[in-house]
Amino acid sequence: MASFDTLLERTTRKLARKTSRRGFLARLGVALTGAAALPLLPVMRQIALASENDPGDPKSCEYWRYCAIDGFLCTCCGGTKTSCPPGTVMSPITWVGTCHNPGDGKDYIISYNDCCGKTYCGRCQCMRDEGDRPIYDPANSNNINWCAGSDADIVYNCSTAIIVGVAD
Amino acid sequence: MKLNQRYSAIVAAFVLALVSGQGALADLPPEDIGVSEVLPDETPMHWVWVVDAGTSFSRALLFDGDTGEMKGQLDTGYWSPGMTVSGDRKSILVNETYFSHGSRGPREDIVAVYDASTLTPRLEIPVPPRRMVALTMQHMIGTTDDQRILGITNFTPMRTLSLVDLNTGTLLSEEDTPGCGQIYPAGDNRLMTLCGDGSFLTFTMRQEEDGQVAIHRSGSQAFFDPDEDPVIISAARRGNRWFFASFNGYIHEVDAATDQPMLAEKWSLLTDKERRKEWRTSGYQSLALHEPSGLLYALMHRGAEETYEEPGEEVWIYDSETKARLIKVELEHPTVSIAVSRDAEPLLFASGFKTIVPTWMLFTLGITGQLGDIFTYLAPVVDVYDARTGKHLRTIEGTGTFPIELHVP
Repeated sequence: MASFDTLLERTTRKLARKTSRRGFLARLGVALTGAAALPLLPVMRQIALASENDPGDPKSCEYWRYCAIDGFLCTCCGGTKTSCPPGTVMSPITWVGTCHNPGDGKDYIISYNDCCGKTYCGRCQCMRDEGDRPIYDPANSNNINWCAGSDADIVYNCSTAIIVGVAD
Repeated sequence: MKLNQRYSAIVAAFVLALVSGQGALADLPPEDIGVSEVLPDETPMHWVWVVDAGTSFSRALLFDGDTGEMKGQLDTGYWSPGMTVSGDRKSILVNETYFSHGSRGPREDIVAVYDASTLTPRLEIPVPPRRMVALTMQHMIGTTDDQRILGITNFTPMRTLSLVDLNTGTLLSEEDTPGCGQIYPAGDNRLMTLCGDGSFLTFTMRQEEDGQVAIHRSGSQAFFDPDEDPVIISAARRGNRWFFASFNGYIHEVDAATDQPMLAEKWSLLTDKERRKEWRTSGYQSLALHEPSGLLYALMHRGAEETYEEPGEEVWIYDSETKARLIKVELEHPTVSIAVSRDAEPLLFASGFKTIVPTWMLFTLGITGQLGDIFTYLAPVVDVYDARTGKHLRTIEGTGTFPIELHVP
């Protein structure tokens, strides 16, 4: 039984949109309990592998490059923020986001290439979706399974976050 | 001792009476082995198909909205498919994908036409293996009102439309649809596809004298501004009118009576005050329409523009003719999709989530920062309401792992 190790993971991230996961959790908490917003506290995260001009933990959903991502983080699935896990292949075409790098104060174009050829990784689900648009605007919609354009066909595993360049 | 003996005698007599009483009942008869249920030829109108997108190899589950009982299941291939119930309620059409070795190997795409009474395929039609796969699969397929032609949205990422002749069980054509995709049926022989520039690309199929089907394509004027106020692909239909909600809460009512669909009316779901408070439509299936009465149902929540697919907390019911809001229904659970049955005593179905742990536990985990993934504590449900009053009737539990879409017969 695949259960949460499935599209559910990918889909539930969509539910967790808003400005952050905690924002969504607070709102869902209100909906579920009828109470005022639960005082959800951030989970302490170890900031690992951060560099001065590329700060943050790439295994964390709050890492700056993930501002418009919707998927499992490849950093938790055997890949890295720029490479796919073994045995999967990267979709050549995908959606992009413009994310602000707090390390150097610049905005970057980020390409969220999907890794394809194995079923859902199911780890480190992350859904931030800033600027997400309906799927008739494919380049700005993260609802689409971009593995459709890959050699491994439509079988989605996880998503990367690759710098394309500095946004003008 | 005498007392004990007396008690023993009483107990023995009681046991004997019980045993002899049981002996008087007839034996249960032997029962047949190998029986499978058969459903009505036409799916009853208070039943609902729930697409469970929570497993790699997706399923659709059928429930009776009056009793909450599960009635059957379809296995629908890799990643939640496009599905639709035929107009006569006798068939379910599903666009399915299979790989020969599970998640790899040669790919085969089909349109499976399931018999509504046996839930077995009556027909399987091979189609190009190019269907669009996305989080929600609403409007990925659609049939003309005469039930003859089925359209399939393709994306490789090149965009095309497969047109399948259901009468002959063959692929009629694969048409280029640059920039256009989701399918909205309109009329006996027309399918509209929604385009990124705010227009429609419409396909009209006409049968020629020689029996061949001719395909005519036509564009339209833009009916919304995709930059300023994009519409959501989840739309509702009444006759030749399609209702699209925009990010900012405006209904774009499209007249689809011709092959040149156009904006007929634009009206607001919200007051100015509600718009300032950021009320907007919610979830994946955010609109529903009860055709006989013209009541329009909108799943609503408050949040910034990009929250347009977050769960809804209320359903607001409008008269689509007068544009007046009639009722606000507070939902039992956070809801991602709604649908309304087509009969005269309609049910409102709402697919969402309930908590499976006490509130105090969530609260404690929350304030200590240990909550983690909220979905660990949630279970999918489908709530059933009286669609005329909004009264909650029942909650159906065990509706798969992620019941993302609802289809009413």
